[in-house]
Amino acid sequence: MFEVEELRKKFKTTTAVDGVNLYLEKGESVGLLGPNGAGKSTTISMMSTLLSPTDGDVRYNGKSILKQPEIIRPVLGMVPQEIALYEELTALENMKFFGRVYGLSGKKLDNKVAEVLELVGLEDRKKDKIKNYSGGMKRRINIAVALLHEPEVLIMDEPTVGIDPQSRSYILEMVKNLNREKGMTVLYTSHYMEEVEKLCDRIYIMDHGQVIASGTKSELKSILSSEETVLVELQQKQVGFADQLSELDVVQKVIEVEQGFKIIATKADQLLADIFDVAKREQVQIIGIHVQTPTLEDVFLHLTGRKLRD
Amino acid sequence: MWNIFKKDLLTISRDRSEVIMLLGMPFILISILGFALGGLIEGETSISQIPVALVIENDQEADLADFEALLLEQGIPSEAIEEIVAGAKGADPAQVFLDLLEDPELEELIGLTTYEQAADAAADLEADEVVAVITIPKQFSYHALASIFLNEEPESVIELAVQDREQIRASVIENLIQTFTDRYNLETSILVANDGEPIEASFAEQDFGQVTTVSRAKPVTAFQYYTIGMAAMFALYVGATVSANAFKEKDTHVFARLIMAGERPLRYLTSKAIAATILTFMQLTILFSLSNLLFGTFSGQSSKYWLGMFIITFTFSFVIGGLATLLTAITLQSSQDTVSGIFSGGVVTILAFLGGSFTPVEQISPFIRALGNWTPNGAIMTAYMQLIQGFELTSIMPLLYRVIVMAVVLIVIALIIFPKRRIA
Repeated sequence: MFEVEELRKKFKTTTAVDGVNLYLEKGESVGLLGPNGAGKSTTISMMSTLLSPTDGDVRYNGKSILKQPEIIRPVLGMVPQEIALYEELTALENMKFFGRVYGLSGKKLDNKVAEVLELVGLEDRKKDKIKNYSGGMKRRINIAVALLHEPEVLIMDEPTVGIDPQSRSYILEMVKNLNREKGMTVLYTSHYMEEVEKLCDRIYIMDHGQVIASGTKSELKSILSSEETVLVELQQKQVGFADQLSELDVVQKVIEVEQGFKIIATKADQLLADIFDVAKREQVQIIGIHVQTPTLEDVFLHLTGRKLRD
Repeated sequence: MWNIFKKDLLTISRDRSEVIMLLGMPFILISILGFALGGLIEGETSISQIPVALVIENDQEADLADFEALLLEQGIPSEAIEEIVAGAKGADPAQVFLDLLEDPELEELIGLTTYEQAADAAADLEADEVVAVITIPKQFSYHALASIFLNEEPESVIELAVQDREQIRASVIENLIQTFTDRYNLETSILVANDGEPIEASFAEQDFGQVTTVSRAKPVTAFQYYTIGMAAMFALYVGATVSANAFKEKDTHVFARLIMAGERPLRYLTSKAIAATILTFMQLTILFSLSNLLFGTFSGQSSKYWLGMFIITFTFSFVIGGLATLLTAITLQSSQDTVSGIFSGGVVTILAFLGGSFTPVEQISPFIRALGNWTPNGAIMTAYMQLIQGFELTSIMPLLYRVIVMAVVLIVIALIIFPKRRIA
């Protein structure tokens, strides 16, 4: 339905997107995961025809949209990372303004605005100016505007940045419903692993302008199927302990965390015994040890050596 | 397009700083400059009727009789006395002066009240009830006639007492009396030289300091000048405001959202031009109406005059629309609001100076005036001024054509540099 082929974007001195390939099937919910600066926003700007790529192609239903943006625009709802609204206007005035730009008018416009305001749960605050809204409410209206024309594809660029957990939960639930109940195709970019895990059927992981992994949640986690993650909580952290652990044959990575160290290692029977041996040798007191199921965060860590929010 | 205009009007009207900048500031400046610099602009001192006290201690009949007795004492033959007395009756300075004061045209300038007692007049002068007290002293006519016909030393003069606090208005009365005296002396000299043939003592109105306008044009009042001047200056800010809003729309990704929603870039630019044109027209209409309502700036004008005002105002709004288009195009092309900042921070002031918003630049240099007439605001100011001065609209039209050409040039440049695709 929506395909991106070898997409590249070079700016003067940097390559923001470097040969990205991805696709979205109708009714799918796809996550685009990556840290800040990974190239996610540039990729979706090109997918939504707001930015010309240096190279590559973007197709919708088999037709290139780069030269014919009018193919995608009527069916695409774009939720930018920024609050792209008029702060001095009320929510209702913003909705009606953008509704008219979408070509709605009269009763149809009124009905659609009322419907979307109800969907985002802001009907009772519709006459308040946007500047008087909380961060979460602004985000919800920001999404609402993109839904006015009932798009087939919804691209959301970090729609939950900087808001309270309650608003985040509301937005995630809303997006889930749009995808599952209305069959809307969703491309959701975020650097919050748990959001993507909750919402998306498939995930693309981006770093340094490239897709470094993709697949369903289970496919991605299977990257770590031969490995396990062990969190060791210590009374007091010692660098010598981490160095000793790194020298073990089965250990691939030792990452310092707040309460101790996270160890990514090849599955092996004697791993826990080896950890206790090293602790004894280094006279380090272990106060807790957890063997963890791999998360997407672990996958990202494994692939890049960095945490998502570094 | 109407949708974008309505949105622009709402956002600007709800931004307090914009409202102050576009309406509050010019109106305050019109008020201050109109009151403070009235004399400089109008080239006349617009003075309300000056209250003056007149005390007549002189008895003309008695003085004439005394003068006749004096002539007899001098041994002048009775036939000659008859001739001199007949001449003296027509040349009695007290009567001539009173006739002058009662002249209907002078009545507009001087509100004359005759007092019986000098003390009452002095008390009213002290109490600021009158600006000056003119006293025609006892035996003024007698001494004046003796001076004229017998060449005796003048012993009596018209006395004038003025208030220190009302210097400008008092000086008008002083000038009046001085001019009268000079003129009277001249007339009587002619009379004597004419062997006593009486001549009519007439005074042209301009001798008394009344306003004379050298050109055929009607004078422009300070309020008219500064209402036009400030409106012409602050209308330029509409262009900067519209382009600054366009930058804000791009910076906050609203513009990208508009493009995604199906708005075409060129239609967006056209909407901005129309919005700026209508906003300017509204701004100018509000400023002119307020000034007229509070200061009577354009009161009593004909419908032809208002038609002229409409045409000039619309032309000016159109060129501001063109200016806003160019500033918006540059802003969106460069993705920076530096251009609107530079425009509102410096260029507006320079254009306002050249156009004559602060002071009539022709008084500084004809070259600056000529240069100013090649700025949109300067050309429009000249057009407004010519209309106020009573010029026919047909003679103003060449200036308006010039402004329309400027607007078209601005729009063409804007279209050339405006990015047509993917500018979000």
